[in-house]
Amino acid sequence: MGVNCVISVPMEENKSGQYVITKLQKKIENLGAKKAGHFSVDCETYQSQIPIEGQVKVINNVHDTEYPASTFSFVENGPHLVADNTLDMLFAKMDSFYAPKKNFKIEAKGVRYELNDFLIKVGSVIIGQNTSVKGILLQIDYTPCILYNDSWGIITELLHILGINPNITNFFKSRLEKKESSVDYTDCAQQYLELFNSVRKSMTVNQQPPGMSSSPVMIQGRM
Amino acid sequence: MEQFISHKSNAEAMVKGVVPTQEYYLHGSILDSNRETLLYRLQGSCDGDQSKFLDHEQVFVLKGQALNAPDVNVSIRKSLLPVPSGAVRNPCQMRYTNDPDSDRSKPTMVRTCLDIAVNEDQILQYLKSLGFSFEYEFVSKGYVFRRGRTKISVSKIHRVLVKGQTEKIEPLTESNLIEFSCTAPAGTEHLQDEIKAYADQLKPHVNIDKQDVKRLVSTPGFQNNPNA
Amino acid sequence: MALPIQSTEVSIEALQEYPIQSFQYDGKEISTEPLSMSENLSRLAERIDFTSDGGENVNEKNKEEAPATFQTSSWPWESVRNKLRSALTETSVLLDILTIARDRRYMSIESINNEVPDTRIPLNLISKKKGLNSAAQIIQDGIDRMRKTLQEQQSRSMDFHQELYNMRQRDGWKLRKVGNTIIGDLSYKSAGSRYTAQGTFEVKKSEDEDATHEGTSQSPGRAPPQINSSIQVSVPTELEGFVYIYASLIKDDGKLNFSDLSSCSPPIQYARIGKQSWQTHLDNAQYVIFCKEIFHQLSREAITMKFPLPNVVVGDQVLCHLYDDVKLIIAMCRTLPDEDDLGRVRSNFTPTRHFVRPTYSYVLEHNLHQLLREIHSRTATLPLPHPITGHIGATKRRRLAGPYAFGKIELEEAMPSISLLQQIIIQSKHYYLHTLVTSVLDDIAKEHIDPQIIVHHGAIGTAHQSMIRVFIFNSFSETTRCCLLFKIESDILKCVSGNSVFVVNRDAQMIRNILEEQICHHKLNSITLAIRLTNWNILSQQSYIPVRFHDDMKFGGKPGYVLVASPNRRRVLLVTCYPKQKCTVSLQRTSTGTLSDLITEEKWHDLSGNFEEIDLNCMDFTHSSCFATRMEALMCCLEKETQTNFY
Repeated sequence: MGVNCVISVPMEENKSGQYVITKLQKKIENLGAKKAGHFSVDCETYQSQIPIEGQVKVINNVHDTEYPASTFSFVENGPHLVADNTLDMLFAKMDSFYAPKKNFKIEAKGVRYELNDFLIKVGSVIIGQNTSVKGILLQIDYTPCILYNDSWGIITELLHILGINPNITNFFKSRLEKKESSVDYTDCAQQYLELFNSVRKSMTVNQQPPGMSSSPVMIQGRM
Repeated sequence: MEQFISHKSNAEAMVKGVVPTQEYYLHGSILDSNRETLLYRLQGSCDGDQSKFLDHEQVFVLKGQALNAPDVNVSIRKSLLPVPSGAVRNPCQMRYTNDPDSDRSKPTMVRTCLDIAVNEDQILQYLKSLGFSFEYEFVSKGYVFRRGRTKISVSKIHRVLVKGQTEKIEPLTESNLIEFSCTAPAGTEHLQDEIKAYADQLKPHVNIDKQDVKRLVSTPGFQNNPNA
Repeated sequence: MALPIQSTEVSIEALQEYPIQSFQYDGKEISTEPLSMSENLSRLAERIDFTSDGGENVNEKNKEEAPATFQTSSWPWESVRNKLRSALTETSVLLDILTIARDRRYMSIESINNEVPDTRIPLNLISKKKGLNSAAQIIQDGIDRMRKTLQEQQSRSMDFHQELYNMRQRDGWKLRKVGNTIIGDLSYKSAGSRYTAQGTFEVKKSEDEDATHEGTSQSPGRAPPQINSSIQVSVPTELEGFVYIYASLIKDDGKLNFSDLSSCSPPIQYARIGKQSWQTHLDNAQYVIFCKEIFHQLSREAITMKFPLPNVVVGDQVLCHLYDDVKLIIAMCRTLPDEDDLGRVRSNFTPTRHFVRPTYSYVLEHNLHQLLREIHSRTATLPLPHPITGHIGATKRRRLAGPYAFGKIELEEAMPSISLLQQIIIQSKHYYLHTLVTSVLDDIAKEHIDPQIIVHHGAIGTAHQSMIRVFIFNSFSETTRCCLLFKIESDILKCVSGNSVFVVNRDAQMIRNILEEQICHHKLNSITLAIRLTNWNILSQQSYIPVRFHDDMKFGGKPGYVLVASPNRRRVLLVTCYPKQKCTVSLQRTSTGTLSDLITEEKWHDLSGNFEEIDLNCMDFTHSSCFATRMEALMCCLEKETQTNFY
């Protein structure tokens, strides 16, 4: 487990998401990276049916194929829990208290690459049953190092080579600001969650459905 | 949803096997004076060695009155045994159980249960923010055995004198709780007979049978809360 | 008669003395009161037996009348009256009967047979006899039982309970009583097996000795039973007989037909299995379970798991592909007891392995057994969960995997997932490579006497990794020796010699080539050493330069050679060395004697000429055939010769 950085890759005008992905993959392959299977990170969102402690609770359960035995569960603006993946079944048992938000299921999936010490993942984001690409995420893991400040340089360098503007998440920023901050096993899931939320938000902004202006989606500036 | 399932099946393929959701169990009780004989007998007939345990259990409930739904009971159980230096402690277990099946024809009690290993860093806050409220806690101390897929525990329930302080405990009764329990995926009803047959073998020592806790609760004089 | 005789009156009266009834202590006599008249009469009347057939009818009638008069007068006549009345009734009945009988319409009187047999008597006798018999039987049984226990106590080996106790305590069999039978457990479940097949046996008290004697007496010629045990066990029929796992590697040159495979499937053999002691009987049955579990697991894995080339499971055989041309066959061979011969007793029966093909590999069979035992012990030693609500049968790392977000690789480490089939394939690949190397080394060691080749098999190694060290040296001098190391893994075979590492791809020819090269090197080395010892000068030297992979069958490249001159430079020797061939030694022919008479100076005699081969075998060496020694001797000879010529 090393430092991992997840960023969103901007879409190009008048080009399909698939085009951008293929271009990016080609660049990565040109660097000499080897394909090493597929990956997928998904997020299921539950909402409490009645207000608890005076507010409607939103819970995001993130699964990552990189950690196949685990479920990362985040209470919005609250604590989080890392548990066995059977946690999802508990939510099924609590269905009268917490119901999954319809068409809110979001997933990023794509190809994994290995490039020496780096693990690079290019994922396309899809929401619900709709298979069109809503966004592109790029995850770069620098496996030998667990300190954010120490590995940031080499990650930015790789991003420059790939020609991508290092547009990092708030979470990552907060980690960089702290000195000597080391990796925690929820970090990757938190970054994905933040990016997923921003993708959802951009969707709602684009579509502007009437009742969704006070959407519960928000970017977490956590910790 | 499809994606979700595919992810899960993928994870399950890694984790191997289907998640056990059914628990078949029987209960019994034995006085301290006869405990040693039973332990000796169990040691002889169970697989492998016995193991001492010291567990702390906290029970939480999510009240369903407002939604007209049944309560959700969840217990957090962690081991208090000393861990050798340098080793990581076993994770604490979150356990969901529903009310047992009231079918009397079955040889054992059956209930749905889910055992989830959780990271204990923020588990209490997490449950609180989900709306769970603390019910009671106790410390269970005793021996655990394994026989095939059945777990057999002979334990003494201790009440916790000061909430959250597991050092200050006192035994609740002079008897020990015996539990035969087997968790398995759905569709493994034949295991019930196996458990029952073994429980019957111990008849000369102790009577281990179906105990309907609900009926006990309704009888006056029963204290639901060991902390009371 | 008219005589007037004064007759004296004699009065006869009853004696005034009454019979005495008793004396009192004071001597007073108590006499009985005399009977009154009426009392006397009634006493006399009572004496009359009216039923007796004494007097005539008339008499009877008279007397009949008489008591009638007393009827009312006195109570003591009551009995007389009764008797008379009954007599009257009887007479009237008789009269009636006679009247009816005379008429013959309703009744006839005939004489009857007096001898009426009483049927009840024999019936009684029979039931009595039966009762006595059964009582006797019970007593007899009791005596027998007591006698038997007495006998058993005398001969301790026959004590059933003692033996049962030993069976549990000493031999460790798990027994329990169900109803009236004693059931034991044969399975490996308590040792960590997850094989679900039934493995129970029943313990019975063996029949008493009389029964065995009866059995033997019925068929003469049988050996007497040797087993002297009071315990008899019966195991399920599917666990009877002998089973073993047959594992072998076969070369498939494309001709192997899978349809043939089923036909060459190991047949179930039937053999006469004599009476065995219960220990061997149970051991055999347990062995059967073990083999079945191995095979069951292998065949299940062969079907469910994905391999680059699909495995074949036919009947009791599993076929896996190790390489394109090498297959691994694992079969379960059974020998069942011959039904007809089940009872026949053989004194020393040894199970024979009927289905042994030449390629049969004991090593692989052993490895399979070991692998399953490892799996068992791994599951048996898994720690119980803490807290106890955790799942049974997970390693601690597996428990931590979820809450501490283990990555894929960590998770795989946490779960011992490698299957029995995969492991045995890895081990058989290693076994294949190992046998390949050993056979080549053995062949070469046999071919070469000079230099000698010694092979050391590393004692430390696993079933999928081992080392073989090869030494090449001269038998008479240890000063030069060459060392080679073969590192054998499951997929890769490496050969390390000096500074170079060759990766050999299960290529026997290549192993051979490498060894031949090394031998060639060694020869040149030992020659150079000999040269240094004899003080000759090396003019030129080159070791063998192979052109590898040029042609497997032939050696290409340049030969190694050494060109040496004697200290006085008058003799020049050329030694060429080429793998797989003998070293050739050639001497440069000098022009002695062939020059013209004009040139007399000595030095012109040593002008170089052509090289001529020397046959070293012509040299007479009884004590050594070592090439280097011969060379040394040759050089000494040549030097001496030139010296004598020169001076």
